[in-house]
Amino acid sequence: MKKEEVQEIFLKILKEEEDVSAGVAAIRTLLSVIENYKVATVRELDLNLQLAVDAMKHCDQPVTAISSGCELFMRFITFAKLDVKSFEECEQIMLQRGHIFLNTLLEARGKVANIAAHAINDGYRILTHSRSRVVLQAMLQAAKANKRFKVFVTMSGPDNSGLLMQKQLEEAGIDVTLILDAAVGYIMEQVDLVLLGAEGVTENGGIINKIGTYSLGMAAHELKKPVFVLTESFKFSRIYPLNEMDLPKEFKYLSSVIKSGKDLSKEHPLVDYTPPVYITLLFTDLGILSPSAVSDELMKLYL
Amino acid sequence: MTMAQESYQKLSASTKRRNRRHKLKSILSQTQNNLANNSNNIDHKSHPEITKDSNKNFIVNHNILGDVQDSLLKNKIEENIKMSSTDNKSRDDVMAARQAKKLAKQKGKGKEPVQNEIKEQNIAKPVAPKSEPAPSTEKKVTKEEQKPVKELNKEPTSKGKDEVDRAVKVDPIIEGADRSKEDIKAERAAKKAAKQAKKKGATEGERVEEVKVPEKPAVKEVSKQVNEDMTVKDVVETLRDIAIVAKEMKEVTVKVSAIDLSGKKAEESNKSKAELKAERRAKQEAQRAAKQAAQEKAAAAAKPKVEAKSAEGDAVKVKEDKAQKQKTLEKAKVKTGNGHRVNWFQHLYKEHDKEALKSIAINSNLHPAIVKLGVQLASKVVSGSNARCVALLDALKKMVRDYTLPAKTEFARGLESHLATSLDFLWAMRSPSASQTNAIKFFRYHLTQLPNNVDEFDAKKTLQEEIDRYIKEQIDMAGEAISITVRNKIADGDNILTYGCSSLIERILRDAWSAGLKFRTVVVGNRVHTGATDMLRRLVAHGLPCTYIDITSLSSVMDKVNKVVLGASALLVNGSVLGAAGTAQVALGAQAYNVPVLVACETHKFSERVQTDAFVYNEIGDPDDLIDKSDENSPLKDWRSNPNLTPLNLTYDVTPPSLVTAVVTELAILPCTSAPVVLRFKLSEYGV
Repeated sequence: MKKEEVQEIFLKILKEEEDVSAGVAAIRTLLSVIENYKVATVRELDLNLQLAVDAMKHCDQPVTAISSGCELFMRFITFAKLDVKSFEECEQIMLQRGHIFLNTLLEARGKVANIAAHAINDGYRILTHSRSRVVLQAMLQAAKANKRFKVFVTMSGPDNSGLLMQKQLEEAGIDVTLILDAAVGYIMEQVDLVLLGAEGVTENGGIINKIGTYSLGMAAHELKKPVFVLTESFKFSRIYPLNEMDLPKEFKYLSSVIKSGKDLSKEHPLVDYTPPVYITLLFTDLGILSPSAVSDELMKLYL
Repeated sequence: MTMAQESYQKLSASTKRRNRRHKLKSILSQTQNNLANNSNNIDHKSHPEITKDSNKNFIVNHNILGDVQDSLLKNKIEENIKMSSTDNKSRDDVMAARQAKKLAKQKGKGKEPVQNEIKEQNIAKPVAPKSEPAPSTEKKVTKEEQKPVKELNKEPTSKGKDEVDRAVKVDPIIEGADRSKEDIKAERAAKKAAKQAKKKGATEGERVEEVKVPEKPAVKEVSKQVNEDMTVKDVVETLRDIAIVAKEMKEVTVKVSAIDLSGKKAEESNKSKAELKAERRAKQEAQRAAKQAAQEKAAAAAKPKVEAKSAEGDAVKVKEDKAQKQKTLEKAKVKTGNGHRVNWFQHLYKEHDKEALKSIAINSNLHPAIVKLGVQLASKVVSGSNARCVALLDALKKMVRDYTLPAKTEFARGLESHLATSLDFLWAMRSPSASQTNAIKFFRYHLTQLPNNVDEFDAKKTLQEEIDRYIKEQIDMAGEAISITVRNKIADGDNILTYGCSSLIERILRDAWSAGLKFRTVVVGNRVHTGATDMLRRLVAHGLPCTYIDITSLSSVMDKVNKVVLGASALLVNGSVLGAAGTAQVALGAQAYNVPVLVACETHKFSERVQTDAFVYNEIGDPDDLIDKSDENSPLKDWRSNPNLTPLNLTYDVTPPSLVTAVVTELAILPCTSAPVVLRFKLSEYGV
């Protein structure tokens, strides 16, 4: 198995199916690795998977969701190797579990959107940051339920992903305004609710998300606006950043930038860490959680 | 009992006490060294090994002691204390023993108890017989020694003076190296007080009729004169106490003296090292002098009694006066006892009533290891959450090993009741820390898990193995896991601030430094609790670049600090951190400067208690620790005589969860609000 092949599979999924998030794509890649690359022992399989995870982390995609998704996947399926006799049997069980896992992940977004749609009330003005698939789906669902609300979307540099969000919301007939990233403070006082997605959720209930989220959270906190984070539970990851500096650089910069050996202080970080104090609630497929409940869930998953 | 015998007994008792204090001191330093060594070698040496070593020592000492035991049955507790000291026999020890020997020789030639004392202490080397010439350096002393014992009674005044002087002289010879200013001061004060007392005694001899009437004013006079010096005041108080004791000789039975000793130990418990040292010496000096005084007084009092046979009225008068005086003294004592209590902390004082400690019965059922631990806890020789826990488990292990099952008793039940009495004793000496409570819970759990018809041998083996496992997993390995986790959070060039003394923090920092991280440590301490300086010493010895600041200058360095790493005594279920007093202040300072605060805490320190402030549960330390010894005019000096002045020395404080960024446990880095999750997890995993 080659690194490039894995990266190819992974990037292909991301490219062809726009609706798939990086985490899910990573898990699907891992599943295809199990299916396509026949090996004879559990150890070999393990190594293969490790290699695949490593390869995906180095293909210039945001790493946060990939790492948490893969970690969870490995944990979920590798329990199989403990209680079976033959390797073939083990492989079958792993695949089976992998698919079950994938299905729950795919259902997760719908669940979150369902719960979160109820949080959107008639006449609300909602601020959101960048483009998040789950936030989009929640808004579409709320619109479908004939709720009338107005959305402010930040432009979100450096990739201006807010533009795509604006386009998709407009298509669904939702009143949407694109604002500058720098206008967050200006717009905050008109807003009733802040809805955010997340690339990853840290152990203490903080989130790692598109750069700009932290300042948005601070502004919302200052003006006492509720901040709801919509996220699937596979994005919960076992990292605990103490502050922005403590965030691993693999998360903040693309692997190509790190490899190039440039002075990272001169580069733009792609994500930031928003501490749990700025988050009111997390809407997940496990239910609506307070930030401090995240570590409870993580303990359940990993201990 | 004749006067002479009594005085012998007193002398020997004081020597013993003196010896013991030296021992205690040496243990203190020894424990520190050990602690440093332990953490040094922690990679090579696992806990079970350490405990095994100490076991070996223990057995050996026990056997040796058995030889001498017959002659010393009456002072069982002292033996226990010595056992602890012989465990860690060192150069200090030998020095102390030598000194004790010398003093004993000076004072009481041909006194059996003293000889036995020395024998016991110098077991390692042959004990020189009385007549054997002393080494050349001790020539002077030898001469003194050859003075007939009679002289002691014949010329009490001159002898007494000599003795005090000599004691003062001898002390610097031996301890010259580590004599501090305080010590000298205390000694001088003691000497002064002793002279006062002697003078008093002399005057009393002349005016027998008025003996009792001027007694009180005399004491007052003394206290007035020495009012400026706190230590002297102490001395005078001790003098007074001893005078009473001397009068009540008949009541001084063996048992009472034993209990009294334990009480004394407890009393001394809350003092800092330096102070302990100074105070002890002062007390010794005073006691010696007081004994002389009391002796003279008693002799003087005896004379008129003989005369009084012809004149009954006088004798009655004297007796009445005696009684009266005693009453007033007692009253005064009680007053000072209750007066100096801070209102909001009344509930905390109860536990630490010194009188209550005295009344604890030390019965023969208690295992020596338990008694030893009790004394160590009370005197804070063993302090720190982890050390207390390990020491407790070690003592329990010894207790289990030596436990003999009474006939027709189920093992678990028998041991449980035995355990309960032992714990009552230990908790009375010092209330348990969360780590100790959890360890006991764990032990009890495994005790109850034992099958009904279990073989005694198997049961003991199981329990001892479980204890070893607990120490290894919950303390040693947990410490390592935490050390690794925190190391990953330290970046090159960081300034790490820490507060107070914690074995875990020390380990983390040393490991991180050894792993090649380049960071600077800022150790924050305070004047009252000197643990931070001890940790600083060990960190510097390990080669870490350190800065030491007092907690008062916290805010001036906080803006340069990158991370604050704190130790904890317990993590409460509501997320609050119970730490050494001052922890909350450091966390607050860190928050003000937006510095992340990490609390390192193994899960065996998690407690089910809920506490939002430090009022509900706390420990009152020794108020004397608050007095600045280097300040001659410290306004706190005479707080005991000032009803409007109440120093309060608290041991713990509570840091709210909002001030703590993360708690580092061996399971994971967690927000402190996750404490209930950890407890739930542990309940399902370990049943404790």
